[in-house]
Amino acid sequence: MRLALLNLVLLLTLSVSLATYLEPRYSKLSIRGSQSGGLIETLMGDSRRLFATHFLLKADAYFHSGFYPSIFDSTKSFNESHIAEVSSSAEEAEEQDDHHDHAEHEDHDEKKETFLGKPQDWIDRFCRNFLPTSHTHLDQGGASENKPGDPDEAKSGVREILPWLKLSSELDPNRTETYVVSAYWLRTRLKKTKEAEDFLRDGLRANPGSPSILFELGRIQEEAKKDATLARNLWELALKKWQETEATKKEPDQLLLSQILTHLAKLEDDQKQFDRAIGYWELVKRISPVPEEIEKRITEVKARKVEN
Amino acid sequence: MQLRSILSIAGVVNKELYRRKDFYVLFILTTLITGLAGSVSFFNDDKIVHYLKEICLTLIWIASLVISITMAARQIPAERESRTIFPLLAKPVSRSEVVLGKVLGCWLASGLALICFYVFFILATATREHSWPLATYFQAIVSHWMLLGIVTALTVLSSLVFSAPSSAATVCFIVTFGILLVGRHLGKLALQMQEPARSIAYAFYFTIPQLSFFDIREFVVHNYPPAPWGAWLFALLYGLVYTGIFLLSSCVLFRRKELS
Repeated sequence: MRLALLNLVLLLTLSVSLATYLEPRYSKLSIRGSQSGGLIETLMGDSRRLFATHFLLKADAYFHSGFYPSIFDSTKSFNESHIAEVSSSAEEAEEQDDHHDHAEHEDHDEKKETFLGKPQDWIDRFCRNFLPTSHTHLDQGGASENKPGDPDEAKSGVREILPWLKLSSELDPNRTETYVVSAYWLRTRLKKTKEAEDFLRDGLRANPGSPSILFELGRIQEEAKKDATLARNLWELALKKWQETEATKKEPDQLLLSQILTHLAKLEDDQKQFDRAIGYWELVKRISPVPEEIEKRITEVKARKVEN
Repeated sequence: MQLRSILSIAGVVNKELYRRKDFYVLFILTTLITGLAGSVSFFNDDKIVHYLKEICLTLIWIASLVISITMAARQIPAERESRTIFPLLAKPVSRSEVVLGKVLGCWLASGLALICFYVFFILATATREHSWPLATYFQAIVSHWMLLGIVTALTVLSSLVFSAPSSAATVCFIVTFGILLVGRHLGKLALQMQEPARSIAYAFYFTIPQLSFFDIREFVVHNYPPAPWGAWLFALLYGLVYTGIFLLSSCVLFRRKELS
């Protein structure tokens, strides 16, 4: 008995010694593991990006309560992730008057809800009794028979897309779109500013200097926390990072640039820094599809400057 | 044909569900995985439930298919292998009654398993969602059970065609999952094919049992109102017809089969 115990202690001592000897050497060998990867990257490699895309699409399918094309359907009307499209266009439309607001987006969708097409035969027709066939959005109550009377409660239905977005970000932390889209819904529909900010900061840690994440963080500071100085700093940094990363690209993200400049212009206008506001509006005018509208804004700011 | 004989054979088959460990293992796995998924907090929001419903329903579908296919696939081959089929047929029982009893027993057993699974699902959902869409649940359970009826009859038929239960089960798994994934879209795929592949694909499309008529998981997950009752009843009738066709084929095949 005593010998067995001694043997056990000896084996334990040996295994601990071996572990302390091997661990630093293994860390040096496993360059990928020591950089950031973690368990998911080690196990799945680059295939995790495919799954991340799948879960992002899953979130979009949930946003439409399952009314979503499969790989066998025509994807002409669903060629882009709607959750991302709505999050980037809805508020932008208010700022820019670029004739693409949320309501129009939905009308447009309703007219385009043709991915199912006309039934080809009786099986196809009959199948549709057991499939979602109407285009609904979760932030408007979704497909539920008993939609909540309270509009805020109806909007909060969008929470159902969040698990898939979170999972997508875990699998591919370098896809900045996931953080921005999630933060948009958390901030606007669920009023979870703290969670949105925390998630964006996670995204910023994984993607240092991402202009889209910095811009979204600035929006939280300005709209929810009313901290204009911090918002300005974040947007200015976003602008600087955009110029460093996007400006050299063949097809730079002009929408993001336009959003950053517009928000900076409005912020400076609110802070009565009219010259700086005019400067930003001038930059917006160069890239805007409706420069005459921006010119009107510039005239308004100039008028306010004279008044003050 | 005597109903009493069929029911007594079905009763014996049904008892197999309690004796074997398959159901318990699959049920515990389903509850564990669902519980684990439910314990994850996303952005401190405890009202998120649709993902949990989807995970739980997917597990239930997999578990129920595993239970019914593996159970049905071994019924007649096991009786032949252990030679208990001879004392059974020595009794005043016809071969058709044996087949019908086996299929009915497997179908009832899978129904019992389904009830356990769905009770767990409804309770797990209600703890978060606080709603009881009973009509949709009723349709989902009965449709699912009807689907298992078709699959059970198909498996018994294939167990008479293939010599080993493992090959019959494998073929049935492939066929069932294939129909669930592609069956509904086979018509669209056929349009993009050249002749004679197009005609063959169309022939398959109209011949195979369309299992998607019984899959209303999307309605349950996304809180849709129940499917139109007329269409739902027609789907059940469609399922009964296919079950009948597979049963009849099994009876004919078993009657002509050499057992020695």
